[in-house]
Amino acid sequence: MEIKVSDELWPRRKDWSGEVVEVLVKEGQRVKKGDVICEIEIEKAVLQLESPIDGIIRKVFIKSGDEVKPNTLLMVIE
Amino acid sequence: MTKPVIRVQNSEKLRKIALIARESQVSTVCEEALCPNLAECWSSGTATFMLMGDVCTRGCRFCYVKKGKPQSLDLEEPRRLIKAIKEMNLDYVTLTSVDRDDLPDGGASYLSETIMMIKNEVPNTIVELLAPDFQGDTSLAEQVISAGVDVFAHNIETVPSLQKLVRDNRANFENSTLILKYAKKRGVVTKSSILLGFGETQEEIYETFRKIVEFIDILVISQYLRPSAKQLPVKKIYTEDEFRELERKAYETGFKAVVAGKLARTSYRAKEAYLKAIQKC
Repeated sequence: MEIKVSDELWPRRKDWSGEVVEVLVKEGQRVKKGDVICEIEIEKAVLQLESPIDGIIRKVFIKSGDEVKPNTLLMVIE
Repeated sequence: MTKPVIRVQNSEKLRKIALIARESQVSTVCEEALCPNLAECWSSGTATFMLMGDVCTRGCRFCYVKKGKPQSLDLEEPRRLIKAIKEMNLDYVTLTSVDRDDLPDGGASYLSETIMMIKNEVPNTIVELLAPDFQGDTSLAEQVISAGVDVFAHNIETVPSLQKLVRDNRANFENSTLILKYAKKRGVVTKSSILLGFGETQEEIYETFRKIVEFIDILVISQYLRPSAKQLPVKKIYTEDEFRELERKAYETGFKAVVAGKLARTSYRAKEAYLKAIQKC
């Protein structure tokens, strides 16, 4: 399953961006649904993104400092 | 400086409300202002609709809503709004709008007709309107009040000394207090918000409390959070303890209900504040 920055946070406003503060998981790591997988800082807040499923992190595409936008691919969880 | 931390969950309820909002094509201030509470509010079945388009004629320096020349009024919008209210199963609706200084009545007739339609078709819905300042014209405020609003809200936004810095040049403390005083005189529940973090002093905050308490029932005290680099910088982030002290002080000053906190916004936990206020009215 591809994990992207949710475009449903502000469904009709997709012109925002943020910076990855921390990636809290590594490739090969097992995660549970609801575990925080990364933190993204936007101007107004720090967003803690939860894993939507139980699974294993297969691929991580981001690192601290990266700029991300709605729909940016963050990682793959299987 | 510590920003609020928002947990982004995967909520079915949120997805459902987002779908209804999208299909209704009625704007929400939750989205337009990048409100950090969106997930919490939408998951619990609350949304704040923004009427008369998503482009504002004013250029307040804290606000993320698009600015410029607005679209012409969409006369089908009230119909779609009512459909959304029914589908979302809301019993407390908060309405706001962009400022429409381009319209001769600032949108008062449009807003009042919309409120009357809601009251007609979903009669048990409590309606809170976050109204424009109508450039201080109380006859326009009268139109929306007589349409049946339960809560007349209008935000003074900041202390008197920072009005020019924070708000559009056409907005000022005098016009805002004029229409709020009028609403209070007319017997509706009144509400106003003050954003903190622009550089105001504690004494200025307390002085503002004293100035508005005679005509404001519900006071919202919240933290200004810069939506993007285009808006004013944040001068100070208030701590939770400071918010509790401001809340205590506000109750001591005489407000009937106070919502205070880093993420408090005008429509945040609006129903609870309303119920608290009417017990004391």
